[in-house]
Amino acid sequence: MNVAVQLQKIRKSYGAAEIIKGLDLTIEDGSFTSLLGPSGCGKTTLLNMIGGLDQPTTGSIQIYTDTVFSSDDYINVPIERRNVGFVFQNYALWPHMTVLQNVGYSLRIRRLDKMEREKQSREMLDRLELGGLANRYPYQLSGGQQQRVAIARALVYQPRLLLLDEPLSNLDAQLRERARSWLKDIHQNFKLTTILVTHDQIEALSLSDQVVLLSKVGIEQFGSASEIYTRPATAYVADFVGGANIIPGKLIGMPDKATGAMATVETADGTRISARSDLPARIGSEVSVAVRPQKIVLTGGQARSEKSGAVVPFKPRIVLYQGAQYEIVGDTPFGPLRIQTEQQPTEQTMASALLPAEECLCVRP
Amino acid sequence: MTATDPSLATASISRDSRILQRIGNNRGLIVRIVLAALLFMLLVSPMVPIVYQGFLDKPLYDGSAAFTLANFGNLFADPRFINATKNTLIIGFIGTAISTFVGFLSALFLDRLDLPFQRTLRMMFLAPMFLSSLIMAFAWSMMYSPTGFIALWLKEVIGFGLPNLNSLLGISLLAGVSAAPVSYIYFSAAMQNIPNTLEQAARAAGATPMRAIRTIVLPLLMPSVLYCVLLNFVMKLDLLAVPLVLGGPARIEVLSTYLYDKGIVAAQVDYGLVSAAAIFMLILVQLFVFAQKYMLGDLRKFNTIGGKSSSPSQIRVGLWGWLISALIFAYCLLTAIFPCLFLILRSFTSFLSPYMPISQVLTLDNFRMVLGYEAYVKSIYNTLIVAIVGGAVAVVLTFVSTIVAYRSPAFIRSFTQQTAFIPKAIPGLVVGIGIFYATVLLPGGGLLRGSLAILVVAYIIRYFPTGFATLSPAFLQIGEDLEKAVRITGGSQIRSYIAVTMPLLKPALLSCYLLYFVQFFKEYAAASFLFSPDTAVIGTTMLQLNVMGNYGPVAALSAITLALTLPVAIFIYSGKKGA
Repeated sequence: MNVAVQLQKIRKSYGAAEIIKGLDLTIEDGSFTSLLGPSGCGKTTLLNMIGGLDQPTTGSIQIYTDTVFSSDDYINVPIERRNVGFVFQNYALWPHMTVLQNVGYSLRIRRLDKMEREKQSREMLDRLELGGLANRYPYQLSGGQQQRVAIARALVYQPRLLLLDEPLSNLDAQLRERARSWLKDIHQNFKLTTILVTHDQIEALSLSDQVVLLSKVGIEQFGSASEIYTRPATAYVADFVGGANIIPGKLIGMPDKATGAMATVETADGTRISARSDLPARIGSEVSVAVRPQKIVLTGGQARSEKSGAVVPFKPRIVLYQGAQYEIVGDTPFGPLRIQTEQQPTEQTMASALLPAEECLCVRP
Repeated sequence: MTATDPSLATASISRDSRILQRIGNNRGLIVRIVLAALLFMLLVSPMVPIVYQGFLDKPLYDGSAAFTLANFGNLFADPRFINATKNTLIIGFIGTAISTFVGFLSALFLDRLDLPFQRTLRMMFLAPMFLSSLIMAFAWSMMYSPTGFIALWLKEVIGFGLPNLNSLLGISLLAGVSAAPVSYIYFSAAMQNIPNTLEQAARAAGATPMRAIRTIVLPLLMPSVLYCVLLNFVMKLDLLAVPLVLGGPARIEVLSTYLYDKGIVAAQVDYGLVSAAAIFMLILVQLFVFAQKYMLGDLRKFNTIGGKSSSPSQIRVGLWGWLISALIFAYCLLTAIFPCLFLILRSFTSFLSPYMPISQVLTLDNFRMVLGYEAYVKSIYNTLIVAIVGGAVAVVLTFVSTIVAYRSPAFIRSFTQQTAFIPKAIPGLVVGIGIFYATVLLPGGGLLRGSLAILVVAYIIRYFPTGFATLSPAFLQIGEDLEKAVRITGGSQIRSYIAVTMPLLKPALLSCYLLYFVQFFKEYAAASFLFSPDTAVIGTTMLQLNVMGNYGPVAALSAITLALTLPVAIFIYSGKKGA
């Protein structure tokens, strides 16, 4: 495995407030990595640090073999010598230059002659299907076109990394979906290590090989998109990605791989829930059970379900019709529960709910 | 059909009441239209009588006056006028070049470079903004003119003096230097409007910090540069004190001093000629306005898409920073601090010369003379009244105008916003002359002419665009919904402005007031056509004393002015620090 970016012991504080508290991260060469998290978790700051727009208070950053920042060795390579491509949230196209001039600017700095500059810029524009727009000014472009020009501008000088700061957030919903598959296409075409900052979980899951899920505490989980979704490590991840009911409790039965036995968690009121578990937790330790609302089955009035798991009494409070499904919020002995179902619920079916053991997962609280 | 037909009577009554009803429903709109019209009339009032007088063969109060073009013929036949125009253009170009260049460089250095003592230097650089160019002219003259202290001292020590300050170049230099702080503020604001990311994108593409500024920031500043040039040029046309004080000894005449001489000093005022000259100045300014618009072309090429407006990062320059800071400090010392200190020192002495020890000439006579003479005390008193009361009136007018300009149907909106900037292109002297003529024409004008109110009117017209521009951005930030929320809970329209808009605007209203206060305190050009012995202000008194050669009292008056305005300036600065 080739390392593209390595962050070590990164800390960042503004005055007394510490935004990033000792973070380590390694990003593989050629991968598409998303920094996912809510606003204020420091994800953009992290991206800016890699690009050189911002400096960590302490720590070190390595891009391929170059140390571009190190607080110990007083190294801070300025942005212009890091050779990275950066796409800003508002695209930051230079309004006084045409599309061709925008794209050719970096080549001019690299002292290519006019012919070569134009050739390479036009090639890049053609590759991104922008050939016809070369002589337009940014104000004459649509939002989607501006975004593509911004990417062409960042790719033309063959940077070592492509850094994207919420590049899709300024597009409307329809365009965003198209731009998403287009971004994926670019990554596959150019095979360039790409780091994306986003707060949109679908964007992160659908685009990236690796997702770094950040919260105010630091990295919650670093893994492939499917790992993040199917095996969230913490209650925070389970809820942030895809949404989940988080039921706090105590571990009272250990799972056993040999027999296939599930873990058992007891909630404060004594309800016992069977769940999968990969946690290195001991009997008696505090854990939470995460279960996605669409996996819960309403079982009221039915003698038995084909699935096994904890059956709990349920008192529905609100039923929301959402077109494809119904969402029901109600109470159980261990607290509120959110359920999504395609079947129209009746008073009878809503009397109890099954938490299928296969769909319940022990996570760190 | 008879008058007793009951059905007809009720029909007409209900029609009448319907009209009343409609007027009542649109009361807010009607009030706005009236206010917008009044504002327009106020702001164009100086121009109308001037243009009218320009085409009359006799003074406009003379009933037998007839249409003529002779005034313009006479004007262009006057070699003094031709010469003054030439000098004005030279001073305008060189002075504008100096103030734009110094303003831009200082904005770049003080805002973007990581300099030692940045904040202090910025305050020192901006401080002359609060000084009238009259004081600057006196101070420079006493220091650097051929008979000035420094020039004589240098001659004594190293054998030769300074280049002659009483020259076109000297006038241009002081005119340029005194307008540098305004240019700085202009560029500083314009640079802050350029999103940081545009520069960062250039850096990511490989540009060094200075190259990013040169290729991205500078081209985007083009509209501001041209606008700043225009503004500066109008300011140069407007300068009266600098050419009067520095150019007087060398008999260098410019358009403003030509007008001053023909319109005030001359025993027999030729109204037609003065008006023709004023019209000429107006046209000159308009030419520049058109040139500026033509040169920019499609403005959308410069529109930056607003991102998060974070203050741009400061460029590290290391040891160079100390050198740049030292240069800026030296500039501030030479252009403002030394001259002002010298002026204060001069006010406490009977005579200052490098050939005489200071201890022998120390005296309080200058202050005794100024404060002992009723007319002088009165001018100080008048200045304070005009600044304090006039400033308050101006703020109220500005506030009402912003409401009309931003809380009205579209047509009133754009009309008022454009109206507000009309006086920007009228030199202060021309405003003075115009208001004077207007009071001659209007009934009851004589009463106005004898009171301080006429000064307030002229000053308000003169500085209205600046005040409006200060208040507008703050006003735009207050969502109309906040006012609507008051009305939904049952408050009237006026109440919504008093309950919500005014408290939220408090800081902006205060800075608008302070701006008017300082400008009104400084202004003398518009006053020089309007004042009577009873309504003299500090500036006009200083000009008169200077003509008589009484430099001691001039210095004393300057010192008093400094003492009165500096606390306000410091207050404004400390307020800005908190924000």
